[in-house]
Amino acid sequence: MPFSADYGDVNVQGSFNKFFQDNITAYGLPSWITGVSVYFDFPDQGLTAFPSFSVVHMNKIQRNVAQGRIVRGTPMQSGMWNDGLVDISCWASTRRSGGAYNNSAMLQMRSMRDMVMNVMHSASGILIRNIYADTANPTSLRALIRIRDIEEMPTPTDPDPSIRRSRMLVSYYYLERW
Amino acid sequence: MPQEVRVLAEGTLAWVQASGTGGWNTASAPASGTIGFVQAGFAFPERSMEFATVSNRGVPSHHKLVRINPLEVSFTVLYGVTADYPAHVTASGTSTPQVHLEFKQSSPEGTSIWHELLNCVIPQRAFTEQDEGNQLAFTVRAISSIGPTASGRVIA
Repeated sequence: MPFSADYGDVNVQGSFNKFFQDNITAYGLPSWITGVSVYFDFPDQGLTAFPSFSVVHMNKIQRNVAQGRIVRGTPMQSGMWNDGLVDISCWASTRRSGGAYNNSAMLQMRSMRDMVMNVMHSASGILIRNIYADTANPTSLRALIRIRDIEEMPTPTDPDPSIRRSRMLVSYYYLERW
Repeated sequence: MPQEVRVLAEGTLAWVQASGTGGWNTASAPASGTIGFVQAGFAFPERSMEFATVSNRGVPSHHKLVRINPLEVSFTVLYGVTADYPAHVTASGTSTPQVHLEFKQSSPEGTSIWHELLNCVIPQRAFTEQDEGNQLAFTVRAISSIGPTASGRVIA
C-alpha cells in the first residue's frame, strides 16, 4: 500500500491551494485585469507573468491541546493542533510585456488584494481533500482548515523597479490526526 | 533510573456505565468509551475526608474521622465528538444515572498509573463557545475512588 498521510502537508497545503485556485477568479475579474496567474512554488518558481498571485506556505507550529493527544475517543484517534501561516502576495508590473507602461498596475494590485480578502472571507472552513489518493479530483476527508487572521504586511522595494506587491500573511489552523 | 513526572500528553480518560452502587459493578458488556479532546485541567481529589481534632484539657490529643466526602471531579472537553461523552442513563441496579471513570497516566518508561472514580453522577454539563473550539465542562460527583494502582479495567 502506498504511503499516505491524510492530514499531512500534502493534503492540507494542497487543499488550501486548490481552494484558492478554484475560487480566486470565481467571482470574475475587474475590467482592468484581463487575466491572472497563480504561483504556488515561488520563489523556487519565478514569477514570469503579471498580474499574478503567489501562495507560499511558511512555518507551522504544532501544539498539544488534548489529554493523551486523544482527539477522538471511539475509535481512538490522536492528533495535534497545527497553526500554519501562508504568504499570499499580489504582484503587478508597471511594464507590459512589450515594454509599454501599465498605468493600471496599482489599481490591479489593490483589486487583487480585495479578491484575496473576498476568497478568504467566503469560507468559514476549507475542506481537507485526499490528494494522496487522487491528485486530479481529490475527495473530501470531512476535516477543515480554518482561517484565523489576515495581516497585511509592508513590503520592501523590489529589486525590479517596475514590480508592485501587496502581501498578506494568513494564519490558519487545523488538526493533524493520525 | 530517572523518575519522570507524568504530563497531559500521557493521560487517557475513559468511562463505563455503572450498574449497582457501592463498588465497581457493571452489567455484561456495558456501554463504555474513551473521552476525546479532554482539555488541560482535569481535576479530582484522590480522597476527601473530614477530621475533628479532639483536645484533652485544652491540648490537642487525637483526631476523629467525622466524615468521608464524595469526590468532586471536573473536566472539560472540546465540543463536537458527541459519541465519546459518558452515556448518562440509569442502568439496572442503580437508582440514578451513573458511570465509573477511569484515568490512566501512561508511562512509556515504567509502570503506568490508574485511578478509578466509582459511581459517578454528572450534576452539570456546561457549554461555552470559544474561538478555538467550543467547550463542554463536566461536573461529576463520585462516591469513592481506587488508586493510584498499577492496573485498570477499561483502559489496557
